[in-house]
Amino acid sequence: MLRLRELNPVALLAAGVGLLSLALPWITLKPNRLLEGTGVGVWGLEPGLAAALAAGWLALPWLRRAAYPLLLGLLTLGWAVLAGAVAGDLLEGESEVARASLAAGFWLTLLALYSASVGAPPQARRWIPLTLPLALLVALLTGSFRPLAPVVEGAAYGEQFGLEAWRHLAMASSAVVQALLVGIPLGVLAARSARFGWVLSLSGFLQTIPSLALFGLLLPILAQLGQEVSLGLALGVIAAGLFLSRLLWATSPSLGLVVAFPVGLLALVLGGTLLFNLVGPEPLRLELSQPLAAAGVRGIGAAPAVLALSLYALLPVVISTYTGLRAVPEAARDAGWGMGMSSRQLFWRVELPLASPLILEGIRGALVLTIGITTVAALIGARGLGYFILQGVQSGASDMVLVGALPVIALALLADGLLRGIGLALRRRLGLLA
Amino acid sequence: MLEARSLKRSAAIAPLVAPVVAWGLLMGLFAYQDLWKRTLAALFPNQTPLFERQTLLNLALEHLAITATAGLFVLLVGLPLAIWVARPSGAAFRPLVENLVAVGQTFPPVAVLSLALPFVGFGSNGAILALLLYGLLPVVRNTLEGLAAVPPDVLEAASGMGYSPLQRLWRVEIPLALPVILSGIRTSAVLILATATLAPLIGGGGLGVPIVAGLAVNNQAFVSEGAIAVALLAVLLDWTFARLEAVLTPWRAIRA
Repeated sequence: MLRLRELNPVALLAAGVGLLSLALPWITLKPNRLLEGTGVGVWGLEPGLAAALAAGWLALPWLRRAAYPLLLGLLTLGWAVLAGAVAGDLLEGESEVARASLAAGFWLTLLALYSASVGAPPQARRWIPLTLPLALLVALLTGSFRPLAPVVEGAAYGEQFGLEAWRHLAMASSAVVQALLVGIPLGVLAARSARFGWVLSLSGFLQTIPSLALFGLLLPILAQLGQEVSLGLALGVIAAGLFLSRLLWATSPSLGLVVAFPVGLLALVLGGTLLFNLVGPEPLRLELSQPLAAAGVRGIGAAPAVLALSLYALLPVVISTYTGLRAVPEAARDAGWGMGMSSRQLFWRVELPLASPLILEGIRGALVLTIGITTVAALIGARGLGYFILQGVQSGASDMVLVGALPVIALALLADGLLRGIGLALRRRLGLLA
Repeated sequence: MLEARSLKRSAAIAPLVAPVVAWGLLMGLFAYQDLWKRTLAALFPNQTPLFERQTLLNLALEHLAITATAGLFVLLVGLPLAIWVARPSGAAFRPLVENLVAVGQTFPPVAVLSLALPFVGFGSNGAILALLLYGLLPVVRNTLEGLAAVPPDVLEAASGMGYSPLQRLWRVEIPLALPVILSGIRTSAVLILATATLAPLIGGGGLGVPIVAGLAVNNQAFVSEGAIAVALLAVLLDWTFARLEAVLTPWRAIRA
């Protein structure tokens, strides 16, 4: 028999929060999306389900091994089903504009579920990534969430919701790709020679500038650029500039960089916009004689957004490449030299693979960061999921805010989990993990 | 002896003279409305050149007040929380706290601001609550990291000298972790200042006001006014904290 003192304190806390939340209102019934509503608890409408949930919370701290994640999955399913059932009961007989918004009890139970999954006992931990998503999937497929207000609002947008989500991901991923193309070489330079230490300070400096300010500063510049310069001219300038900086590099690397810097920025502007149009919902237009605005380089919209996001994403990529290469043990390098590798071979076969888990950490940081900041881009007309948030803020409808916010949080957590998983597999393959 | 000590102290404070002068200069620049007006008028000839509803200095001071309040709350919540979960009594809650503050940062800023509205009301107070959520991660993470990096033999030596656990924390662990903690506070301060730019969306004040107003009426001069001012503030704040780190951890400079 387990004594109270031996119980996992986090699971105990989670159970306490879970029980407390059952006493609070779960759903706020509003006559329409803007009016105030009244909070409704779970015991009056669905006493059976509520009692089952309470029993589950009481049992959870005492469980170990597979029983813990199994019950946690059931609790998650119970949370979704209970909220959906209460909302369904309340909406019955109401008009079509009535909304079942989410109230404190719903969110607090979510917090309790999250806490319980983080605080799972060690022997139970490996099953959590299986049972929790499974429970959510079942809830989703059986339509438990369907009566809840954010889902209703999201569904009302129809196709536009998918389109904005696509646009959001296209902006964030174009920015991360650009940050990788520029950031990894810069990180390598910084790691190789102290002369390029300024690369680290520069990317740090870029990130101190507030996102809205950076958007604002880019607005007039890109507007001007888009009107005055044609695509052909821009491409010519980029090609000539890169060629010139390559020539100068041989005599003086610093001089080469001075030329490469503005050209690189122009390439980032153009590359970001074209990349976004390539993967995003807008068509890719390439007419050499037309001004850049025709290809999408404008003061507002996706062009300044992708450029600013690329600059933000630079810091995590540069820093992680730098620290990753710096952390390569001298012995590994020596072994490579001893095997007769050239410095190029050494880089590709020894240094880069050993640094790759850390570089991947940087990519993870960059992706999570850009997925979040992309919401701010809605303010400069770039749309994306921030569009719904902004609509909600402007009209004072918190359910609309959630239509944008919940998918953004989900995408960020998903990207985070996915890249963590890849990183773990990579470390295992490299033999860095037992 | 006394002279030597005061000399040493003034030498230690010397790195802060430059930031203080720089803050004075920047505030002077903000107060010099006419210069901004003329410059912006030259850059954007077809638009109203200056946001006239509030002076730039007022907006900047308001921005700093929001940042400072939120920053203070972050310290009041973040430091004790991190220290508690770093100690044996709170160790069980460490993964929970680490995960929660990390998840908090994935929340989109505009959304947090607006969802806090029902609880705290319209205006700058709501903004402060949301900013608290953002600022927590760097402070908590760095405090944990700094405390974990204190070498175990140093802890043993302190215990051997008869320090109680609390004395050990104050006199040994926190001073040794200070550089890492300070850099967390620096990151957090800059992040809060940046996110505070979004406060006007929920009726708060600060330098975001001319940016948001400019975007709404398509006036690039307003946008540039706010953007330049807030970028200058962010860079200066970052640099000030870098200097502060140097002053508060003089042993680092000696080693280097």
